[in-house]
Amino acid sequence: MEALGSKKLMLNCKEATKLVVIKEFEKLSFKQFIALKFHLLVCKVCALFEKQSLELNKELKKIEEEKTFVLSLEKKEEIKKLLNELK
Amino acid sequence: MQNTLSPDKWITNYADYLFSYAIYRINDREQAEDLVQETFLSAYKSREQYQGNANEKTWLTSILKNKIIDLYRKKSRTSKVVITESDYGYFFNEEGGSHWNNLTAPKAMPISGLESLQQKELNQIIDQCMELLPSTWNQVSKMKLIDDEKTETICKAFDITPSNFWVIMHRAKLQLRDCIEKKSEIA
Repeated sequence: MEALGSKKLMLNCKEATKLVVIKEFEKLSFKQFIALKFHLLVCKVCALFEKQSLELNKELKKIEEEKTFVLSLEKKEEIKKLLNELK
Repeated sequence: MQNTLSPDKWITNYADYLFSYAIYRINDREQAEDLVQETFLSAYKSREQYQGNANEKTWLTSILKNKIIDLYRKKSRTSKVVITESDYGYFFNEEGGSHWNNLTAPKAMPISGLESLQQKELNQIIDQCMELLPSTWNQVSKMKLIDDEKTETICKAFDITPSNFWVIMHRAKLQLRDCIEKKSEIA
C-alpha cells in the first residue's frame, strides 16, 4: 500500500484494482479515495472489476454455506467412543 | 437466555457441520477429520468453562476455528509464504504503465442474480476456480472473504506482513475473476 499514490493522483490499473480490493475491507486514505474515484470514473474496465469483485464476495459466502460434507460413520463412532472414555 | 451443552447430541448435531467447515478451509479430508475429533474432545474437557453466552454450535465452531488457525501457523513455520510483486505481467502491461492487457482485461459477465439452475452451474465454476488458487492464497482469501477475519489475525496465522496480505488478496481476486470468466466462456 505504501507504494500507492503518495504523491501522484493518477493511478494505473494495477494500483487501482489493488485499492478496489483493499476498499472492500478498509478505509482508504483521502488521497487514495479520491485517486481511485477518479480512476474508476474514467476507466470502465476497472469499474467493471470493482462491480464483479463485490458480487464475487457475496456469491462466495453463499457457496460456502451450501457446501456440505458428511463425516464417515466410522469416524463418528470413533469420536463417540473417545468421548465416552472421558466420562 | 442461557445456553446449555448437550454433549450426548454433539456428534449427531454438529459432526457433519464441523467437518464441512474444516474441510472447506484446509482442503484435506484426513486433517479435517482429526480436527473435528480434537474439537469435540477439547470441548468436552473444557465444558466447565462454557459460559452459555454463545450457543453450542457457535462455541464448538470457535474451538475448531482456533485449531485451524493453529494448523496454519504450524505450516507457515515450516514453509514460509513467499510473495513477489512480480508476475503481474499476465494481467497488466508492466512496460506500458501497468494498464490492463487486452487479453485479460475483465469482460462483462453475470456473477450473481441468475436463474437458479444457471447460478448453480456458475457457482460450481466459482468454487473450482477458488480451489485452483495456490493453497495459501486460497486459505488467506477464505479467511477474509468468508469469515471476515481481521487482517491482523490472518497475518499472524500465516506469518505475513499486511502489505503481503494485500498483495495476496489482490492477486487472488484477479486470478479468481479471470478463471471464472475463462471457464464460463467454455461452459
